[in-house]
Amino acid sequence: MQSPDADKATSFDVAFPLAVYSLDALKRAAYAMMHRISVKFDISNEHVRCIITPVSDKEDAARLERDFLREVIDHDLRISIEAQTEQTRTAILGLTFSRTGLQG
Amino acid sequence: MSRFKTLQHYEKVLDAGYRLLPFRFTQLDGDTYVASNMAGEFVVLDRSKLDEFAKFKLSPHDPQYSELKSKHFLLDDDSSATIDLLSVKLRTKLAPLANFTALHLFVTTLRCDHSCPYCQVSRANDDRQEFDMSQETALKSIDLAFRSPSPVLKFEFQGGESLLNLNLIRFIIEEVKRRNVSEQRDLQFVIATNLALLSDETIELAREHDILISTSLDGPEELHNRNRPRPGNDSYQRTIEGIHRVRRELGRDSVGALMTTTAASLSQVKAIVDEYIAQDFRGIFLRPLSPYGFAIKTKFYQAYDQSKWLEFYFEGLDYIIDLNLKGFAFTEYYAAMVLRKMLTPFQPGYVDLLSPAGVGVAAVVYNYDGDVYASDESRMLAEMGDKSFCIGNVHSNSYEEIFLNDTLLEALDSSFAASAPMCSWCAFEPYCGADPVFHHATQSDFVGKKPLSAFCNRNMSVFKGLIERMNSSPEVREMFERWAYMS
Amino acid sequence: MIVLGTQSARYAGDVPAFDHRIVRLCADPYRPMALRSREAFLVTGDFIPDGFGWYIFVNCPAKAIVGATIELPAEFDYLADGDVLRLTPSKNGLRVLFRKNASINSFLLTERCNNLCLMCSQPPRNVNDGWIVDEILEALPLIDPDVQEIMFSGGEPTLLGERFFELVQACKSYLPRTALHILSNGRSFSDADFAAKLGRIKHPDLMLGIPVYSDLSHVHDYVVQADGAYDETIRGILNLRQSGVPVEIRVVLHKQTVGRLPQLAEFITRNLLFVSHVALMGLEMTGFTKANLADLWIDPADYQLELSKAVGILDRAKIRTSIYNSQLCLLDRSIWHFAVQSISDWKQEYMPECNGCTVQGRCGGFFASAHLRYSSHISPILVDR
Repeated sequence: MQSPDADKATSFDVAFPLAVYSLDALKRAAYAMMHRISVKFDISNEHVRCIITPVSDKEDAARLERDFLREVIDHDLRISIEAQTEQTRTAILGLTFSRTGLQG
Repeated sequence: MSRFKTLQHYEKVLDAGYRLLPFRFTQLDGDTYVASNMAGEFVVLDRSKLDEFAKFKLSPHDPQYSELKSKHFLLDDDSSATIDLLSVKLRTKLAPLANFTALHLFVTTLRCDHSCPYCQVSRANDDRQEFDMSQETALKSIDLAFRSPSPVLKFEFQGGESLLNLNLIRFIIEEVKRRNVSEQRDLQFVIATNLALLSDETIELAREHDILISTSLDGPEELHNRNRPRPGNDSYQRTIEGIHRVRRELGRDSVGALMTTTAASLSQVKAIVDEYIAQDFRGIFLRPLSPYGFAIKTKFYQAYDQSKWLEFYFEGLDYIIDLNLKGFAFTEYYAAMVLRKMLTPFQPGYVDLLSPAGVGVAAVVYNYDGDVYASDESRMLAEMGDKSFCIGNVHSNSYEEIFLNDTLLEALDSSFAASAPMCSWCAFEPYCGADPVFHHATQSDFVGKKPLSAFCNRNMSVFKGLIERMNSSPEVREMFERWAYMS
Repeated sequence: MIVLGTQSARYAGDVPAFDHRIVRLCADPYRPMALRSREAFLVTGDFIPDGFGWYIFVNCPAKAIVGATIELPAEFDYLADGDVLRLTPSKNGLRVLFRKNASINSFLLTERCNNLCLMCSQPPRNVNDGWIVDEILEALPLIDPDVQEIMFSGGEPTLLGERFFELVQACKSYLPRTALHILSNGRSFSDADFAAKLGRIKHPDLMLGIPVYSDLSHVHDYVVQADGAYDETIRGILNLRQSGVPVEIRVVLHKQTVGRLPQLAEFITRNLLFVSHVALMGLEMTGFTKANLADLWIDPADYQLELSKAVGILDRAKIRTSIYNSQLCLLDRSIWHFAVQSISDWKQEYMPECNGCTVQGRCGGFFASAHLRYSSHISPILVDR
């Protein structure tokens, strides 16, 4: 595993309006890309400014930004789907464990 | 006026809109995504279609609408059958858990005639008894094995070279069978051996008790002997003679072989597959290997990282697929195991790819000295100085103390994929596993940060690679279905 | 064609006064005396043994003898020892309820049904036909217990409620070695207790044949013409499995079902892998099929791709699969071994296009009703490779 060489690579900013993107989505995206970037969050009322530092200087910043944006949008959608299907998921799990089947 | 109603009448329910059923999605490649439901059924779709679908904008006339309805991603009527089906499917996947530990590995001795560089555990081959399992230890271990509720009990003998303690193997089998008269479990016996010391006695024992033989064949002679040195440097020859002898005397299907991938193997996958074909095997298990096992002993680690293994794996898999397309039936068993999770309602018991983790739950190791390990990897870790996954000793701990060991429970609980970050939203989670031993060894944490995990990276690449191949070719899809349903 | 019933049976002699009676037919002159009074004897030669309740003469005048005689026309020359008959002297009626030599013995339990399939071969009637159950209950003990299999169908047999269970129990009691194949839409079993009740009977060799026409609920509901039918059927199948009753899935192949046949096959492998058998059945030109032909007819040659794919999917999942009522010349060679000769030999027919075919012996041929419409691609297989 390469250790991040944070001092050498250059950081860049991306701003996300909180009206459109959830903070959770941003955090998840940052987590998912931790092998390529480290992210600091600067949160204000309406925006979150993500200060993105590449882990290695070999990766193209534009590409990282595109991929980060994709991750954020994907996670935003996931969070929305999870919220909408939570009840059904619980109902299915309840049914799954309810009968004697699992107990033999 | 016809008493029969039209299709349009019954399609009205589609116009009333649909609800989403729980599902996850992950990028496959570019704008192509994979979505999976709770039962592990998947569909491949464009990111834009996924968006339409998730935002309730997908038209019932879109061909993927029917696919998503059929595969239980959406609900468009007041049907409860779909919910029932999903829960039945999930129950089928989870049901084996209740049977608990089925695989019981007995390390009959650490003595070995080989000195394979990648092996953690072997000791010198002399007649000293200190590295042999005693009858007392064996009896206590058998007690514990029968405490498992599993209707099927598989006893596997390992080492070192397990046959160096053949008498103990016989002792254990006879004792197990004696106990089974009242226990009435379904028993299976396997001996893992390098076959170098195969004797008439072993053959007779195997014949008497229907024992399966599992041996090591790393590839063509040169590679195999390089990987597996022994005095006389004749491991390959002895292995091959052993395989043919076992087949002749005990039957074609009574011997299987596993390969260990080393740095030297990485460039030779076709030659390795060809070797297996030449030796009349009907398939090969291109086994992934945890690189941390290499790090200490062999210093192969630098050369051996996951991307190289993945290249090796897919080169081998594609070669095998090609052979099949040309009419030669030959299976890649690792893919077959993964495909069984992806395409069927079944859950194979492959210890390293289970969530909850297979440690302790699916398998347990009784070491020669009575120490109990949650898995084979756990034992290897101990040999490297970390005994975290030693969950007790047969002589001093009860069944409850061993299987309710704090470390084990914590490892099982925290590593459970469905609640781990990354895994909990990953479309491939139903096919994947939790490997707390691996993550403990590489990241000092049972869960591990998956973006940094070689385990995660490797698994995702395999899942994506399999989906891409079956999605782009109906013949490959059919082949994969056949592999998945092989029992 | 076999004629099973008549209203021109001539009764004479000592006819007891009753509405109808169910009797076993005997052709064995050495039948124990104790059994004869309740059985009918089939007269074939000169020797007429004493003591039988009735004497049956087929295509010849009844001899004047002690006891009751029945004269039947020539169509009944198939009658044999072990057959079970219903006698209705007041109407000159006689009906064969069970033929020992038949390849399939099927009992219609009721004409009532809660579906209305577009291609129904036994169009439902909402009548009070409970008498049928009584009749079958009387006949079952007379049936040879060595018979291999009997079938219950309808209408929808489970609409009989408690009497349905009575019938299944009677089969278990009187014919414990006989396989019982019941055709049902499965909907009644969406009530778990109903399914459990069937399971508790523990019939030793029972199978429920249940149609599922699509992987999509709205398409299935359309084919069976009932809202919510799919839902009940699927839940019924799950409950039957839970209660230990084997299930077979039946699919009739027509324009509304063949388009998604591979998807249905995949659906079965993912959701209903436990089923004992899948039967893929060619369309019969009877009942409602004629009225709905425009929506149902597709030349079988045009769905062979889907059929082969579906069979492949099921076969790879190790689900036992059969193709019924389909001619071999239409099927891809690779799936011939799934084709079953399912049409009873006496009903089997061949078309002019079959002339010279070398595999007629293996092929199921056609139902007589197929003359109405059959594939334009029938052609003789000249060389049997």
